[in-house]
Amino acid sequence: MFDIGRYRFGAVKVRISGGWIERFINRCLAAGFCLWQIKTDGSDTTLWMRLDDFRRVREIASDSHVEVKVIERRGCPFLMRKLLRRKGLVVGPMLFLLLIHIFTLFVWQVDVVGNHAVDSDEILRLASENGIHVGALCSSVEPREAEQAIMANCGRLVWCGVRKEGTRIVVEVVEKTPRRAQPDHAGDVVARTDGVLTELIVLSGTAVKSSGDTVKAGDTLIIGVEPRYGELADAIDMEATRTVGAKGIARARVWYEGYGEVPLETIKGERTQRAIYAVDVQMGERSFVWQSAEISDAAMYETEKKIVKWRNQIFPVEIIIHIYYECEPISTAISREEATLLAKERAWQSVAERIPKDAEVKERRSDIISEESASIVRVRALAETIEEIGIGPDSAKTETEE
Amino acid sequence: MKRKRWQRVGALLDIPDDVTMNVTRITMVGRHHLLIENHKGIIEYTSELLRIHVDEGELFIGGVGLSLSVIEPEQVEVQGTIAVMRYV
Repeated sequence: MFDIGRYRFGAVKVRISGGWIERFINRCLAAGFCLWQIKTDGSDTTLWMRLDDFRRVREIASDSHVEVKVIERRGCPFLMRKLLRRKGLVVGPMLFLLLIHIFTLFVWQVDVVGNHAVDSDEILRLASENGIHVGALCSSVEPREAEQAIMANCGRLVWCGVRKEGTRIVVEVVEKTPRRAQPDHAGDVVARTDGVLTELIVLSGTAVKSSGDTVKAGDTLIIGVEPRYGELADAIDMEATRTVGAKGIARARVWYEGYGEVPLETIKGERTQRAIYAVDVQMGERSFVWQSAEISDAAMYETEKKIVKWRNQIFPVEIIIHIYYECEPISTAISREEATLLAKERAWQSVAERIPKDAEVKERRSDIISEESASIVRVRALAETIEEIGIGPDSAKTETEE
Repeated sequence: MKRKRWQRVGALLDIPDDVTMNVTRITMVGRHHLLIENHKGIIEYTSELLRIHVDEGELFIGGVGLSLSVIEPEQVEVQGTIAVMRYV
């Protein structure tokens, strides 16, 4: 038996010869030693004992007049001693740790993040000039000084941050957002839609239309120039004027027209109990017919598409099932009054979709334009509104950005 | 006197004698394995003979190829082919 405790502290097998073996054993027991695997062949006796006990066995052996000789050694202390004799095994790990330590003293990677317009090489060059480059000593890197130097030398940056991540240096930058190019002409207020101007108040710029004028979509209402300070207001001379962003309130009377129709008799399909199935197999972008459906041209069908999935897993091969529900045509007739109401509603709906939310509706009118005997009731709706129609350069820009 | 008192206490509490009075406890498993607890030491040891000092006197064990697989101050474990065992 050789347990882990004995292996950890070491054990020796000794040969005992001569003297009084029994006395030796009893003295060992009295000293608290643990002995095991005691065997005798008449003249010699062998036994195992702990290494610690063996170091104290000399006096006992002397008293018992026996000769003790170690014949086998086992355990960690002996293994360690054996390993320590091999210098390579000791020096190797130490050298390994030393090299790891030395390697971690240097910068191995420099990364630039956050740049789009500014070239990474330019930032790396600036960083390199300030001691941040591959191979530099980590301890020599001064992030704060490098940040300031990069910011000072690269005018296109708003912010720069340098941080150490072990042997990696990250240079994080935020670029300036390029200002939008100013147009030569700062911008006019133009008409968004056709209408008749009812009110034109100029806040900035010069009016080129006046109240009561009929304007078309795109017509300039207020031009983006105004006389310089101290000049006469009516002198629109380009040399004596300055370019401004035109601003103003341009309210106009605008008309909207809508149309709606409803047939007196409609045909709807009602599902029967019959359905036809077709199966397609789709592989990537290509689709194959696995099972086709025989559809009659005379019958009505409602179609439904189902994609076969298994536990929400997406496979490269999809099975698509087309279900054709057979429908029976059923004719539904409505009265002319009901159709007229429905047509008016549709016509007004088409008008309402186009009227801006802030428009003030002044008048509404709807006319039936179909004949009395016609099978379809047609209605035209007209709405008259007062609304803001001017689009200035600011609002135009906002719309573009949106 | 003291020994008898302990013996009575042990009998009263139903405690074995080997616990109360250090009486030798001998466990034999088959013919090749023997465990002796509460021994007092080895008197003589050869591969055919083992004499152990116990509280009750001397325990004589005879056999072939006897070895002490473990010996500790409290117990001794004997292995080998045991032929005879008696108190002397």
